[in-house]
Amino acid sequence: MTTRINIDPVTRIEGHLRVDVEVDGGIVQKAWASCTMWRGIENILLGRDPREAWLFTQRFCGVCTTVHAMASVRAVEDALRLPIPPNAQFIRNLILINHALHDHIVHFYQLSALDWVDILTIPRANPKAAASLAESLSDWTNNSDKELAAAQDKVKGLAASGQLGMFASGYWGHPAMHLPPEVNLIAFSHYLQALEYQRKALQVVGVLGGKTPHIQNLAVGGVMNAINLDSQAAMNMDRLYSIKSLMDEVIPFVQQVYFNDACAIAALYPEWMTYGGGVHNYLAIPDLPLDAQASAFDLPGGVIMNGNLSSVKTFYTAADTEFRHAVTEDLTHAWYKGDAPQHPWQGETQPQYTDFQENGKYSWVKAPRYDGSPMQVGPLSQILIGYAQGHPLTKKWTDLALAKISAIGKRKVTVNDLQSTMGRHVARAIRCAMLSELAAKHWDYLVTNISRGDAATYNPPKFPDGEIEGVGTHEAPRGTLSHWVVVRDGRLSNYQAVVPTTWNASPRDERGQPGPYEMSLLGNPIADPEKPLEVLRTVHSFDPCMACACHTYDPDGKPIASVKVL
Amino acid sequence: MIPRILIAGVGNVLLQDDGFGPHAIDRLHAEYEIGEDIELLDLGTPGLDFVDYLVGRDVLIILDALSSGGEPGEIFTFDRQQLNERMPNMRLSAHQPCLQETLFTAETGGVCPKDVLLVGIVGANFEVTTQLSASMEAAMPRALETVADTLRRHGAPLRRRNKPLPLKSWWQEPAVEHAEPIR
Repeated sequence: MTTRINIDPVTRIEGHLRVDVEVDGGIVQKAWASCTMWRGIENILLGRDPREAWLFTQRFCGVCTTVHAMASVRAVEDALRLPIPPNAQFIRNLILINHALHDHIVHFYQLSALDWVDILTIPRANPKAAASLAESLSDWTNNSDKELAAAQDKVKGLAASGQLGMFASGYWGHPAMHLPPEVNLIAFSHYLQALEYQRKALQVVGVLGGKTPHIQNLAVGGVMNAINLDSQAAMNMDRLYSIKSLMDEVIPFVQQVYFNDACAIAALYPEWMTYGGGVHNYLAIPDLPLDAQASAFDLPGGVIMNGNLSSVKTFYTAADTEFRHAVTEDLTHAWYKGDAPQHPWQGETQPQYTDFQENGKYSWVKAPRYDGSPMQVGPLSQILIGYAQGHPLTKKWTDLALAKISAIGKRKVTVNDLQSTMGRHVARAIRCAMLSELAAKHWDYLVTNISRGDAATYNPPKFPDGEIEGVGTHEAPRGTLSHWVVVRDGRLSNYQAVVPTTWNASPRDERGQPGPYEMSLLGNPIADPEKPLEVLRTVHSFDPCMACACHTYDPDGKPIASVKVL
Repeated sequence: MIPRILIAGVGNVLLQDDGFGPHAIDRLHAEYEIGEDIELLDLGTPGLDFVDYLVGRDVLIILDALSSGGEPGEIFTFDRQQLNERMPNMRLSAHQPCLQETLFTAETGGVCPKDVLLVGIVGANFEVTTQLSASMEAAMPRALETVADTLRRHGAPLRRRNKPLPLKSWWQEPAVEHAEPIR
């Protein structure tokens, strides 16, 4: 018998992600992902000065402010073929790295760990046993039985007061939750510590960017940071060392805590490395440029098709010629006028709402395609591509993760097992560990370059008459982000953002090919249709960010989402 | 020193009345002298990083648009208890901004301010534009008065400026000319 489950946010304005699945024999057979909020926000940029577009684009989303600002200035610089000074690259890179460290830590602990960690078993845990387990997994110094007992008391206190807050809504006791209470306790203790460490990473963004959440220091042509080692008012050694000391606290947390926790949870949920793979085409853009021309990068990019790592193609630039031409957006199943695929430079965003039609239009998300194929983006894509290319930093941390998971789970895990729901979490932890190494490295690059006497941070842009086109890319925490601009006589005449969640949450296209969320849900077991924890696990593993725009408090207290079994 | 009172404007200035919070922060800055124990922040549409701005505060005033609960332009306030009673039941997008969850996370982490008040105006339109609707504009002065009253109760009275400062709203004016080096 087929059961249909519909998970739908019901708020009036925020409306984000709706997921429908058809379940037969306890297994998902069909799935639809729909974004219920209009993203025509780019239209606000038409006719504006390209130099200020980044101020607007960083308001597209509240979580990914920085990444949209960065892609925007890069797009205009690409249109102008304008290089930026090395200091500007390194300052931008440090902002991007620290933003990503913060983002990955928060995603794992605050936003998805509770899909796997059953809070209500924690009062039963033995803090001493938990402490010796934690010490066997990591050198982290804050794993004492005292520390763990304090975390346990916190849960006991919440449970006793009946004020579980957001923890009240978890699927506790669900049959798919099966970590030992001691592991749950360790994870919750790190959940509390993560709140502190992610904040330090964000403080680095604030020091360099002038302010968070909306950085102030960008400009088309570089950054507006004044560098002067002899001035108290400018970027000097004091300020550079204040950044370093913050990063020196975050780096061990990532390498000794987050990385190990992700490996341990993966090892203890081996079944989640066998499904949830979905679309096995992977796309990533090289990022963290190392010179003014952006001719070399510290993060790898390319394409893998059909999960075949030996087929990997390499991108050598951030806006590779092939990438420029291969991207289209299909509107067949999206609530926009038109049905033929459009290149982003010719892209239009004219709404045509029809209601949810399973075989017709059913989402506000367009369907991005690469040479006509759906692509998965995100840390997993970047890790698989780097691994397939033999990228040393990727290989180092991936091999370490695979060895750790194999040792804890007493079962050999290979890189191909990462093509799964749990693999996305492991890949994110691998990427975060890589970024933590690169944080220190790019700080050295910046300080070395400044010490040589180079204080340049800005090349002023000049806009030609006539029409120019550009694409600005960034390998963001959620994956490949690209902003596509057309500038006519110094004003924006088209602007399209193809965001990571559009690739992953894409609806079907004109050939009926489903997007990555839709494919990844197929084959997932569903133990209890009323509590579709498995669906949430797979969707959350992508780190979805549908909230790309709107924030309104709904005082009617309607639940954020409803689960309907039809 | 972190100012003990935070006034946080949240919302998206690109979506009309959703931008009430940031607009209100801009007005407060222009129309009142702000003492050292108060910080005004336009936080846009924060996710859980909202929590980071709560560290070290005693009082939090949130300015946010309301999507329902009354007629456009109506003003409502909610304290911590009232916000608590409206906890959502599930998060589908891992980044769905949700105020209650922010406050609860802050509480779990031991950094939630003692006093929390949300001051909201019911929005009329949430289209893609930077201009507030007429009903939102009309309600704005009363909302700012509500904030001033609250601050008086917390021993931090605001003084109205004799001559308002110009509004900073970059979303209305070309911003490029104002760009200054970050120090």
